Amino acid sequence: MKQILALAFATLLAACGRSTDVTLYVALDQEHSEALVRRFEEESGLRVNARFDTEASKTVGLVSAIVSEKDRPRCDVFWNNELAHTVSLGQKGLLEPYASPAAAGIPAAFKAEDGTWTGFAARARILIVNTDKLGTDRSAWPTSIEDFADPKWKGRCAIARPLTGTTLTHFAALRFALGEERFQAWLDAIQDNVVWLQSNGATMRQTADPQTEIAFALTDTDDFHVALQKGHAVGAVFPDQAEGGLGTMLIPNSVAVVRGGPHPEAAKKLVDFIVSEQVEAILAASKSAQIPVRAAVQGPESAWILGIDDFRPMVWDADEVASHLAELSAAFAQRYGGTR
Amino acid sequence: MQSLDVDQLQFRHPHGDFRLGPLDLHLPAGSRTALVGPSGCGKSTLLRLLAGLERPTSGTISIGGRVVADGPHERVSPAERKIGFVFQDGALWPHLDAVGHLRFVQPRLGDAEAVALLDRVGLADRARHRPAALSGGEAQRLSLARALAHEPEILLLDEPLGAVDVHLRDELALLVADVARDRKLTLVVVTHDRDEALAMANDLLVLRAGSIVEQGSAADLLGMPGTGFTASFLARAVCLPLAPESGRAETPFGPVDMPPGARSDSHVLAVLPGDLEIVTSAEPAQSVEAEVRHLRADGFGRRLAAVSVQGQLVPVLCGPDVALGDRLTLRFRVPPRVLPHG
Amino acid sequence: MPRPVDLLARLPLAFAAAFGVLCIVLPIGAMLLETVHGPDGFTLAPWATILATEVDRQQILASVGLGLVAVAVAIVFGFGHAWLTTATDLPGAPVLGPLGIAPLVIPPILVAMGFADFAPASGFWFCALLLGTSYAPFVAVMTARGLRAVDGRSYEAALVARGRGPAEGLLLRSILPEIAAGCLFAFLFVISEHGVPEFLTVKGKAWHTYAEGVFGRWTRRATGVAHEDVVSPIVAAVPLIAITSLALWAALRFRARSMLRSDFRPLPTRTLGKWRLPALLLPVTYLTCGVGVPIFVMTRWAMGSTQTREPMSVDILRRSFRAGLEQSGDDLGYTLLLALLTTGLLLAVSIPAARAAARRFPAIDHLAVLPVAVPAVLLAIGFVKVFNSPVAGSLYDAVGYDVYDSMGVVGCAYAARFLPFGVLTLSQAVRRLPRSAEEAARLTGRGPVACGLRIHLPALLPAIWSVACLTFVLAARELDVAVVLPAGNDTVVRRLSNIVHFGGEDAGGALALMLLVAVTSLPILTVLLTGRKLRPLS
Repeated sequence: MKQILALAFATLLAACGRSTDVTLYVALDQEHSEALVRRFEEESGLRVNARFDTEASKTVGLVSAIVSEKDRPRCDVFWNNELAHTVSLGQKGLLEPYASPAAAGIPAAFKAEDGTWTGFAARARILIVNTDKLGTDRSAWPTSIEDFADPKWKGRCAIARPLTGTTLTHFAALRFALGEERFQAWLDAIQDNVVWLQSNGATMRQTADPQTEIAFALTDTDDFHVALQKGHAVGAVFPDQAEGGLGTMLIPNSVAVVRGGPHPEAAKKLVDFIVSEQVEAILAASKSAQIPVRAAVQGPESAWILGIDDFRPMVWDADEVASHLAELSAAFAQRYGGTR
Repeated sequence: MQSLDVDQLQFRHPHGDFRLGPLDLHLPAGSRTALVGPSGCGKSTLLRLLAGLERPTSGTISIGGRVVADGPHERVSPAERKIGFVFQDGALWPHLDAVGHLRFVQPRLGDAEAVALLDRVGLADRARHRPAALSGGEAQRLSLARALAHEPEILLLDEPLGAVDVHLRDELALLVADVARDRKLTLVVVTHDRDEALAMANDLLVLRAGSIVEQGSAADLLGMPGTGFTASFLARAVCLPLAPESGRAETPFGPVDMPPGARSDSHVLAVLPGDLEIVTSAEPAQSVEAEVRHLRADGFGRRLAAVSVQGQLVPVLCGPDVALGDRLTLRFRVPPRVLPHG
Repeated sequence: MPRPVDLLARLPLAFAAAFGVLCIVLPIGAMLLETVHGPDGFTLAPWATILATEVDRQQILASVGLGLVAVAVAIVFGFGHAWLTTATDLPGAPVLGPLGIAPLVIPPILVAMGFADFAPASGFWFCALLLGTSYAPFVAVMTARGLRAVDGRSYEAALVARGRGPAEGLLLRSILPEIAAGCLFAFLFVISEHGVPEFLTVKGKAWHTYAEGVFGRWTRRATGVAHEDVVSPIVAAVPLIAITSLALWAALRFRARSMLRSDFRPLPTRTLGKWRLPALLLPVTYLTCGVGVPIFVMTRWAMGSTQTREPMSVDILRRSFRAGLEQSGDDLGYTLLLALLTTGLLLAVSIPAARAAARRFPAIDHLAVLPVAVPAVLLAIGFVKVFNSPVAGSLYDAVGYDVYDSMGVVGCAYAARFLPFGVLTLSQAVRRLPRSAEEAARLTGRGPVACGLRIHLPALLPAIWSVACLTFVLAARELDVAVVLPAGNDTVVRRLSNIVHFGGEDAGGALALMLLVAVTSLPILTVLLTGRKLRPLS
């Protein structure tokens, strides 16, 4: 036991000895982001201390850590796989504005007005359709989020409970895009029609699973792409593309410099790398099939996933959504987190 | 050899209403004393106070003239008091063998010395046994050897023979006495067994409700117990209650004279086995009729009878001719002993 | 004036006290302080929201119900397994017994996910069965501990006097403290589990647990700006603490008063007679549910069950293992080391704390349970507040050593979280030891260090071994704390949860299997190396 303890402490000391040039908190899938981090290390010669979030924590982990560490920030750069929590960190005054020259090609809609965050590589909120259950004739497929309210799909369509992650952001954005009244009416209409699941991963799995009743569901393009890669019989619909329609919700990755972080200069270099065209291209080609926000960058290989100019995105105000996220999340928790 | 002195010693249990003392006590160097008394009288507590396992509320304890405890202030730690302590249940360490016990106390002890010490207590062939493999008697022998390994000047024993087979008790008690004599130890033993007390100790100290009620040599107390308790504990006396009558007290044997200052509610009539004799012819005074209810051998050719006198059982020494159910005539061969309850 | 050697003797307790202040009182205190420190100064407003809604109240009832049913399952499996493998002539008991701790290794959320892949599994009863099985090792370990600590003669005395039934009843009564402690731990873990109930109740939502509700509030804390949003998950933990205190109070009522004697004899081995073979059914069922099913579903994952491109095969299995090792071979080493560090730290704190609890300050038993009563996330954020405070920061700068960014802080957080296992188990063991054996050691004049190392510690060794095994396994699978503390980044479970979410069930399954093998083999390896008898459950 003594030797083991001695060994443990020796390793502990050794682990603390390594130097760090910049600290990165990443909420994007570790499998992809880790390789990119290594690439940055090779290119820049800087040593990155990367901390990854997990799905289990539903972004509680890293965002909570940044908030809790505010008196003595440890993180230099926060790379979030969505936008709302980043914006809310900005609203709490925890982010430092930085306009990266590498982000020049990114449309203004994907950048904060005050420069506190930069959006890139987005996921779309799409309908995943099981082609065995609904057939390959696309005219029979749902086309809009309004289809979740259609009685003919009762028990055959699924949405994740809008308590966390992209579904929460999506619902919060819908609240402002539709207006309070229309939004509540939509919620009431879909309430008993929809099978409410735990996560977007679950909606994907339930739809792909030939054993279930679920024929289509709301999910993210990356989850859809995983199903596709695993060989499931699935197709994708970018919803609400009709003339005058709402458009498809698009949620970009976001990156931000943390205010008061220990390595501000290295942080900027890291941000420059993360928002670069090559990272967008790599993420587009990866298993998560992120949609580049620069039209010039090659998009995902799959024909199901459209390029940024090939569909109409839903217009939403990230600041407005973020500032109401907590209150909406509480309301959703009452509605969906509780007993029936 | 060290003497033990206790001066105005008091102890109050922090979580109870138990009180000991104030006690004054002088145990000369090399003396062997048994602390006796009914359960809860404080004899074990006194022993633990001497060892330093409890701290007095007030008063002092001195060993060899040196104050070791002054009220709650510990002047000399228990380990430095040169005390050997034998616990009631042995208090052995389950994971150590016999030699391991001695070595823990005396790390410099060589194999030969350890075995010699074990041999002294009759455990030479158990040197590598752990407590679970020892009998009750062996466990107490080991406990004694452990206490001796500390090279004590004073040996304290807390009911050391309680868990030991009856036929081994005398042997063990004599071993303790021998060892104490050989090593010139001052010995204090707490016991509730008369034979144990007499085998190990010369002097007796009788405690009751936290106070000393009697103290003296075993021989003296055996012949002339000063209290009812001592009489029954040491001499197998039966204590009978007294019914008050002016200046005298009524007993099954008729009225007896009360000593000056005695009161019927605090005194008893103590009847020792040798106090009554069997008479052949009925004499008008001083004799009573009795019926033999129980008989048991008492060794040395005598028997001890319990006879019923007006419903009260009292002890009588008798010869082999007495049988169960016999009716006897008895009378006192010594003046009746009216003693404080004790 | 105390001598240096006496000061040395007080060092372990001083260390435990310092740990308690630094790793329990300060973190939790900092969080509680936050709740009363509003933007306009002192406020108690957030406290008024505790259990204020009907939803909260129903959730807490659901939690307690789930906890009770799961504990019933844990008693059947855990107590049955321990009793059969410890006290009877069950065939194969020496091998089956130590395996009783294995169901704890694989996090139940993974089992639930893997299980749901091929069989419909949802609802309250399945959830209770799964969690009850997963946490039955607490009851198994504690029961086995109790059975080994009972003096066989007291059982035999009852057997002779009253016969088998009453004797078993008496035995049961004398190990109730241990069983109650095991049930308490199982109950606490079940009611604080948020992932499994959420996953298993996705369809036809009928019930939710309170832990789910609390976890949901953490999201609000992350996004919210209003004081109420920020502190709502903290005050929401208060009912959990109350329930825990209640459960603890109940468990401690059974606290042991019997003493062990130095001539202690172990319980006699009961012969099962014609029930010898049928009795095997219970441990086999338990291990099938607790170990077999997880291994099965994880192997399915690793063989490629979640994809339809190619049929499941051993080749995929091989690839999954390679991928798992490539991605997180280092993490596996880190996790095991962290688990060892946690175990060492926990023992160093809980041994002196348990001795103090048993001999002088019974309140320590109650206080020590606090860290497991609060949600892990809360404790972890409290850790961030304390160990990343400006004061701590300047201290790190002064010594040139950043504790916050090291494995040390994660080890401390784990040790704090699992402290109740150490303190409650060991204080129970200390209470069973006769004081006189300690007094005898004290009278020898050997120093406190010698007495501690050669007399006190060895007497506690069996209990220490139980605690070490439990802590090691729990530390290897802890997720919630690792999620918040940046230095917990490199643990296998964190990686596992990441991989599985992003569609990497194949490598995830392989990783889970590797973790299972590594965690269960390490205690066995220690046993082989140190020559101890194979008794991880003693």
